[in-house]
Amino acid sequence: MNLTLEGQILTPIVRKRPEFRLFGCQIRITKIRRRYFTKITASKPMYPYAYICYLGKIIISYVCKTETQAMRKLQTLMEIEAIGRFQSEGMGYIQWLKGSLKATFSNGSDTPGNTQRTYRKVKIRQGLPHNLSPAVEEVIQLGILHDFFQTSKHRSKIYVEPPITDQILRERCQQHHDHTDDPVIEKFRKYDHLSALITRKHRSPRLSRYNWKSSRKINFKQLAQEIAEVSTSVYKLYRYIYESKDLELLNESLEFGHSSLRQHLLILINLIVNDYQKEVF
Amino acid sequence: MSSKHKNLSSQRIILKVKCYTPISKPLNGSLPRSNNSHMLRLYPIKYQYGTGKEKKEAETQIYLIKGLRGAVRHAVMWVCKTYGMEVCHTTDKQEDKSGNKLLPAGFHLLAACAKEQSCIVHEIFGSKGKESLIAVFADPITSVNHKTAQFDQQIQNVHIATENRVNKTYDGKTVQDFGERYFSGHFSFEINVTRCSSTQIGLLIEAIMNIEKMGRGYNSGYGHVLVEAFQLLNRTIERKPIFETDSGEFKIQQIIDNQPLKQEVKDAMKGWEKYRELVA
Repeated sequence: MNLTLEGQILTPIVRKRPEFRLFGCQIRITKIRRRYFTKITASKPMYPYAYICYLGKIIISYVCKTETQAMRKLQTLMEIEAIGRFQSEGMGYIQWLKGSLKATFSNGSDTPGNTQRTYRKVKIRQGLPHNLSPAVEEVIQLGILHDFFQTSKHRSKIYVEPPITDQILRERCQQHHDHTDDPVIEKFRKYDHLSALITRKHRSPRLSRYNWKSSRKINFKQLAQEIAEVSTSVYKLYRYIYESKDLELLNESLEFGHSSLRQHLLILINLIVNDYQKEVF
Repeated sequence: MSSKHKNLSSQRIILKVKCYTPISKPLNGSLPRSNNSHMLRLYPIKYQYGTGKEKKEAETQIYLIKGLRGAVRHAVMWVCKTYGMEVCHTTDKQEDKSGNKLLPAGFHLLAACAKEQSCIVHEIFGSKGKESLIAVFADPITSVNHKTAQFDQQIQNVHIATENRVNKTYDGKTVQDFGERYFSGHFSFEINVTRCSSTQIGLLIEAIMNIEKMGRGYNSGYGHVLVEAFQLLNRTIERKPIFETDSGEFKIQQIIDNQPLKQEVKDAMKGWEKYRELVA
């Protein structure tokens, strides 16, 4: 059974976030109006402490197996008058308005199913497995080298392009942001977006490719030369990036100054290898 | 669900207090890019007014009265002090960085009594580790000129305005230009005393009769409060789900019943008298 209860917030609920779990239920505040509740203490007379609080509509959702369980829960939930901090000062008071009790769930079945999402971290390998097919190796090679070349969207992320003689690979790297019919680029692009999505967390613009971690200057010519030397073998390339300390100090995007180019490349390759091993690639 | 939750019962004992203030500033702080200090602004609500069949609709902003619990606490503290009882002060430090004394004579530091036998103020109002026994709540206030205004929820109609103030030098030049929101009129608030003992209710009743100040600027003539009446109520709230259709959706009906408690007020006052004779 899926029980939902909806109410109006009379006085602001003092919580850090508008979504939280309480009494074994999922609670969510919608149509948010954000307020700050200030409080002066005698021992800190200079400035008041400010607490974030929310106004709007509150929705409680509860999932259980039988109807009797749901009705019992409804009786206890309806008795709640206030939620959050500073209830003794009149904060967080609620007026319950309506609700619903349904047997069907959002997935369309009578049972709740696995409603909780499961997240798995991408495990970063020390080296590549040796049973890779040539098609995968091609995509991985493009994946490692794609950010080191100038494209329509950005310059080389290590400022100097590595002197690689393979012309097809160079073209692929330079065109990986453009519309092309190349199947290798199309396959690679999905993993590039996914990897960027994982690594880009906090927006912090930078003017150079050095990230906030970097404390020394990098010899980009030497870096490009070293990459070109190991570019013939995918396994050597991966190992070089895994051990590289210079790439750790560069950012993947200028708008996300805390990101790391090394981490982006490693996640990208490991996503491809994971899919290949699951035979999804 | 935890049964210890203080607001989880259908029966409550409420101490309802009716007051009047000529001018009071229970302010929350200034908004960004504003020189005005505001009360805690809640949200705009719609109301209807007019006497005919076709009623007109208008919108108004509602605010929360802050600092009521603090006003009650300070009144309780000073009542205890007059009877020679040493109780908790609000501060937990003897003095600040520059050496100014924060703790007045006749009080001890907050929760200093918690290890041995906690004082009556600490029992009622609690501290960092101990939950408060009471909850103070006032219905939101608004300022509406229409006499026939009807609201969907419980709202108190008072006068709300801004006081503009200018700080000047001896030469007459303006140094600072700022405003403060204030309200004036009759209002009421409630204290949930369900978990308090009879003596504690007696102390609260005596303190309420001695409430004098609330909000900012008491020394400049603001924040005087006059308590007009109080009432001890036994309130039962029943909430029922009313299923209208077969779709499983329901509306919640709320029935509130208030019954005055006269004898309990007398018992509480007697209990408090006995207690203070024993302790003082």
